[in-house]
Amino acid sequence: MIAPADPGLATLDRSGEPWLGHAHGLGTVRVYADGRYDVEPAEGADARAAETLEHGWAELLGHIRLGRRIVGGTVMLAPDAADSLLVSGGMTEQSQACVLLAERGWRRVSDGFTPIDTTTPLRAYRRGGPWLVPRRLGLDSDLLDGRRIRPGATAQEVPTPPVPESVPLRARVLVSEHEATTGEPVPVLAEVSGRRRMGVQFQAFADRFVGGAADPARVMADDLAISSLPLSTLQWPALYLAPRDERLAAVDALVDWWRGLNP
Amino acid sequence: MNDPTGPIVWLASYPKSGNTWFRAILSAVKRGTELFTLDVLASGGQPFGLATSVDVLGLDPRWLTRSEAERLRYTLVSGATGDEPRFRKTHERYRTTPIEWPEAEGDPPPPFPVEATRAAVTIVRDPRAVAVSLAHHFGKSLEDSVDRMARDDTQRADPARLIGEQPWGSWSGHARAWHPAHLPFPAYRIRYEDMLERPIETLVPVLTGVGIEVDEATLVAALERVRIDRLQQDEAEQGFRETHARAQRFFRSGSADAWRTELPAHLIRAIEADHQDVMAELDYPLTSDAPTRRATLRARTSARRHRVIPWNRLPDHLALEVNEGAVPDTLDGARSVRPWLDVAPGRALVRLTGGTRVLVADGCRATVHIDADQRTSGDWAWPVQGWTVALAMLQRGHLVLHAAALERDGRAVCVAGATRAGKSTTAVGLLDRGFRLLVDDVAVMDPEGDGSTVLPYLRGVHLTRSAAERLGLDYDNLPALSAGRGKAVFLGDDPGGIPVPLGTVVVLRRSAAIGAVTSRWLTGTEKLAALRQQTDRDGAAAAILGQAPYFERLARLAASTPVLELTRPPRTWSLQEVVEGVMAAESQVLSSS
Repeated sequence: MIAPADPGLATLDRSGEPWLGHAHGLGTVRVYADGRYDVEPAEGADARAAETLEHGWAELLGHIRLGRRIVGGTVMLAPDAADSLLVSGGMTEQSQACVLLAERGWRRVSDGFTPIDTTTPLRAYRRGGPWLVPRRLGLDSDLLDGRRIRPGATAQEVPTPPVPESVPLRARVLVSEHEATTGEPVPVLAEVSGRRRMGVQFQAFADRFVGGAADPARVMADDLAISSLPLSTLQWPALYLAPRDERLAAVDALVDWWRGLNP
Repeated sequence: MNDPTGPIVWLASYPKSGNTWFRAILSAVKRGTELFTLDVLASGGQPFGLATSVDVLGLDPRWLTRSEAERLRYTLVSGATGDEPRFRKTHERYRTTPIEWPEAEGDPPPPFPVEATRAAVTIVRDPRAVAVSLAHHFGKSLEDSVDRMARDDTQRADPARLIGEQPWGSWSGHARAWHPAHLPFPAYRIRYEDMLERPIETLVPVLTGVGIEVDEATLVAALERVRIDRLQQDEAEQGFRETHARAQRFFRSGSADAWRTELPAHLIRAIEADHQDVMAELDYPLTSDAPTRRATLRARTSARRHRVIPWNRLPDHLALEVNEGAVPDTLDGARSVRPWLDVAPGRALVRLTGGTRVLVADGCRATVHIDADQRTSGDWAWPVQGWTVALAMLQRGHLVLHAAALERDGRAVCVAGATRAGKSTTAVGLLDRGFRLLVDDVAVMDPEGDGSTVLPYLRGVHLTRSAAERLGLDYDNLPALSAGRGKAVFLGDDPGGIPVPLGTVVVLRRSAAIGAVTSRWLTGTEKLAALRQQTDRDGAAAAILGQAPYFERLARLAASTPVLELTRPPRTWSLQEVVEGVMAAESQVLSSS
């Protein structure tokens, strides 16, 4: 159990049944062993407190209780295929790439943190609620209107069409952005293999303490499972250095790479 | 006040100061050299990153408001328990409150809670070496790195990218903030250079102090395992997740002295000027003397002011919009006043060397075209702040004097003269005598009523190397004027936009003969001719205003304004003599009036 702390935000008690979470000013979540949950907004909480508790907390805990792992990244479903791409990297960078993919007809399955089932073939689970991206994404797109999801929050929501509850994962890409103005140019898209793929994999899972993946064999198995995905890196200059067209071209190259992989 | 009884040991440093190497040593000590691996360095993750929130609470922080995110950070940091020290790397500058906190929320949670803290280890490194390392790490120029290290701005915490927000501040500000004497918990400050030269004596007391029992043999073995060449080999074989996208490698040289050959002299002066106090406190020897650092600091203060103003942005009170765009080579129906200047009713086109063209229309908007191969470096504000303003003001009916205008005691003095007469140098020289710069080179006059006024606006002063040095400015640390014009830009304080009554016009002339500075008051036709030369040297004024309106304005200006001619020798000349000549003229005018 995380000790209650004031002026902290949240406590999570996993010692009993159901798991009980409390967030200062937001409310309470109860999450059951079968993945079900209920949420109770605090008195006077803002209009989206219930959604915050549900999609920002209880839902993830529900997946964890079902034995799924939470991976940092956004999963996008291809427009004319049944499987998907896991886009990792900094929140801004992955969001920029995914918004451009959405402009190409890809659909968001999950964003930011994705529940996955590590039994082969890997499957990613849909996140409920809106697709969140940083409000200051620095990307000009018709999909973005810059409205905050909550007053004082710095994320905005992006409209997204419906997707199945879970989808198979075909590959993974790690997106990074730089402001470099000197040095030799680096390839925008580069496939990663061997030990470096394991290196990139390190710390992909973001639920070690809550999810209780303390069993070294489970950790190793999960790591190996996600490392089995083909991996590419996408490195592009900061948006003010690279025109939008350059980025779209990079995303198109990424899609070509993804299509060239065996489903 | 709470007691520092928690387990956290903050490993605080400015980026590229040896934090990672310290963590590598720590990992090799704690895990043993056999199990050491580069990707499992102690305290790699921030305790308040996005993933940590999911890791510890299963909570996605992107839904949170800023204040909720600050509370979350407190939860995650203060949640650390246990007797073992828990090291947390941070590049953040130490602070006691969040950067932004709504008053209505009550007391803010401390970003570095004392009750969760055991101690801090702050690592400092010679800023000249940090600058070189930062440039390599981020793929930036050395100039950019030096500038970044001087900036004290802080980013706001952003719940959507918590881990990306680590407000460093400046190198000096960071070192001051983490000074052990100012912290509410025990702190050890170590210099990277001492870790390199005397690792055992430096590290043993620190490690012991924070609760890591280590014997000398273990530490020697750990140091051997994390030798820079071995870390380089690890990185080459396995990669390193903290290597930046554009960096060739994270572990580069680790040298304490490489800056001596890698940093150009003017950047060494810049760093020493920016950080001299803290460098002296930390025993980093300075290579420059105090007057040099003063000259550099003055130049860099100006350069910083200059940097934040976009090249096409003019002060609002000029009501002149400037955009970059297509500009024709010639103006249909225009009169060619000079080979480089076309004038038509309501429009004027200037063709500058290198293909740059400026089209000014209706006195209120301008379009600038800059050739792609001309725009790589330098300051492109000069055609905007110069030609554009001058032509627009003529279109509005003003006179424009080719002069630097300065103000003291509510009266303006305009220092006019031909190119290279020494206007700008004299202007900056007068700044040291209590004058305030209104504008350089383009003095917009409004000769109405009994006297004229000068319209001030912020504009850079263009200085040659010798002029800058004469004025105690480090030329190499000033921004260069565009494309090989052999001048740098000095930007003083913003003069505001309130017109100032004109006192005296001083016309500087270069004499062909060597001798002293001489002066005389101009009258009659000589005065009129001198003012005409300074207001219509390119024929633009008469062409735009029309001959009759131009001469009417000129006559009014001449009638209301005393004009002094100061003649100076051609090469070596005494700025002091010129400045004193200007001041004497001003006194004379004031006493006679």
